[in-house]
Amino acid sequence: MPRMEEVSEREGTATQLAGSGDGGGSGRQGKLRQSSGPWTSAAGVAEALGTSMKLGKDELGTSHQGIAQEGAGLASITALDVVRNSWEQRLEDARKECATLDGKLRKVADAHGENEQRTKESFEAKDQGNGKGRP
Amino acid sequence: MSGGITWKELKDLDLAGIEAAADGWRESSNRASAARDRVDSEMTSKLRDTQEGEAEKAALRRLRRLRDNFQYIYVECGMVRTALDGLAKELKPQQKLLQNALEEAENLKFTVHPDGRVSYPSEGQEVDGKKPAAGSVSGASTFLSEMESDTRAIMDRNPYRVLAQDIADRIAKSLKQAGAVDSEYSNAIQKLKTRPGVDVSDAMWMDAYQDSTATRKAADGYLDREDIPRFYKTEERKEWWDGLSKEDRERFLTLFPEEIGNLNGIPSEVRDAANRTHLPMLMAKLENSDDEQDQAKLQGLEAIQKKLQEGSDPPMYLLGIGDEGNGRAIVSYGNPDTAKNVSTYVPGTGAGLDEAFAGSDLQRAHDTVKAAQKYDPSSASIAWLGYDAPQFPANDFFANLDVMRADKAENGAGELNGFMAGLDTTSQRHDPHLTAIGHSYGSLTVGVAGQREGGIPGADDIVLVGSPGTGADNAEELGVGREHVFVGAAENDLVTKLPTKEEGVGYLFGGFGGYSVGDFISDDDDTWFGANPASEEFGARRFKVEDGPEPILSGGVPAHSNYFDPQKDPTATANIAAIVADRHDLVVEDKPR
Repeated sequence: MPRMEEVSEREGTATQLAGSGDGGGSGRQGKLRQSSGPWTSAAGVAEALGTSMKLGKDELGTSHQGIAQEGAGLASITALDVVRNSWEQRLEDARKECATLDGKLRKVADAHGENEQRTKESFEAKDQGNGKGRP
Repeated sequence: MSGGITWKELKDLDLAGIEAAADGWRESSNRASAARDRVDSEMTSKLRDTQEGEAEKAALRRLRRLRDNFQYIYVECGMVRTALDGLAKELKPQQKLLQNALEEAENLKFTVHPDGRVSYPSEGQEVDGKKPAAGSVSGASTFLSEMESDTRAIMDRNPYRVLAQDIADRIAKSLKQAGAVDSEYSNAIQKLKTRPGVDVSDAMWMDAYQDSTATRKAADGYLDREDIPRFYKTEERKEWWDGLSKEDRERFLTLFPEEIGNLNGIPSEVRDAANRTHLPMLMAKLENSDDEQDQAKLQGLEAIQKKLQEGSDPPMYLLGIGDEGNGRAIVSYGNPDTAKNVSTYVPGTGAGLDEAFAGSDLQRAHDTVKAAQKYDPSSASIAWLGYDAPQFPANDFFANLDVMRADKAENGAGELNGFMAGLDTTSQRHDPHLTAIGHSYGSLTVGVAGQREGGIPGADDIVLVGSPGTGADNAEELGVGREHVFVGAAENDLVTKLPTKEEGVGYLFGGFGGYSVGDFISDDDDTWFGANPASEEFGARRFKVEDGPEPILSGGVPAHSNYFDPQKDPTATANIAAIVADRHDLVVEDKPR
């Protein structure tokens, strides 16, 4: 979640920069005005969901610490081991898919001109004009 | 014992640890459920309109796969969670039984051996200066051996032997029962292994369906189908659901989506979620069948699923699905629990779960709600396939008159009344305005439902279109008051002009007819299904509709199918909408026939 805010704030900054007239205007003014288009925001969600899957996988690990000891003697707990490994793998694959989608969605966003600010800002970032107050 | 769990192991089991593990699965399941919702609401729905190029389409396809995967993770991790929960809960009493036995042994200074044998010291009245000897006993594993060992224990002069035998028996019993619990759950749990990747194939949904069966079976002693108050009133069911903890609700939704999804009295949002969980599993089940009708049902469900994925305005609520009989599907456009006006459309002959239902019948509900919302935005409309309608095309109505009976309407009436009672219960409105709409044979279903004691629960208005009759001779019999029964009968809809039995159907078609006349709902009058609803004697309010095209001599009655079509019969559509929106003042009335 904080990542998403970060994204939109960065874009907010970029929009201001773009609006202040230092180039890049061309015929895309209409789209430049929106701080976050649907593709960009979908990419942000994909990123957040990837994080969620990672946390889910981690919690699965944590919640099973000591389970072999706690459930010693139970065939169910022995069987659980294989099951959990398979799901940790699947959660990891889901996380990867989210990351891939994040990238793909941002590409579409770029094609739609949603992310011109972002692209621009990534260049401008070099002269440290950004990062106001973000931890 | 037989190589199962030992008493030391059962004693030392940390059931809280197993419950903590269950929580880990719950977390993953809930994360996936939330993720699925976010894909739907924050990604797909916002990008849906921008499918311009290949890149966009590809991205949307990936999103669909993503949400299906989340759905799958939600369902399966939820099952592991329920299984572990059930395991811990069902082992608890066995552990307790064992603990009590062990404590007792300790108090008596008996020794419990690793194999479960219990040794007791020498005790009792001395004979020849000697106390009765110490000894040890094994727990009985069968009823017969228990009888035998008990008898021997009683005959022993050492009074400890009886006590030791009892302790040993209890230990053996706890181990036996714990072993049985463990073996059921391990069977269920090992099935819940998944495959790597992000695709969810039909085969995986089929597995999920079987997994849920195994998990349900294992969890029988913990979470049981019978815990669901299926045989109570809708109000009591709602109270039951409202009274459940969040966790218990999750458990029921995981294990019994089919039951919860189709249970009248459960809030519509919950039913919708449960049915969406059940949908892919039901489809996988049908996928595996060669039966022609199952394939038709599958196509119907596929079409419904596609519509769910595409989204709609107002949004769809899946209030019921099933493969029994000719199939079941109940779809609402708009949330019926929050809408002021809710209409339930009951389709007639030929209606079954198939592509046609998913297409034209859903379209009818959608057209109705769109039109009603012009008068009152707080409206929802339902297409209700909750019964087995007679199976032949509506166009062949007459050819099948002699085989058409009221039995299906009788069965459907009970189902409809149950459903309507549910709507009335789950509505968050103080007094929702409910309308039952029957088309063709569906109007007979509605009519029969209205004539049951108390009428259709919660119904304020009844709309009959293309009706061959309701089984009643007077609108007053339908339970909402004559003024609240509305009838649409197109001039060219022959179904609404059923002749008397004496006249025979041949009367309508002149030389074409000659259909035989069978026996019908009531033999003591001369009409098929009571008085013609459009007639003066019936006494309902007839509203204006278009005449519709003339019947086709080869057997089609196109005017029978236009009442909900805003293009073909805008007059009927607007009138139905006004009734549904509780704006009777806007209904354009017509003279009875």
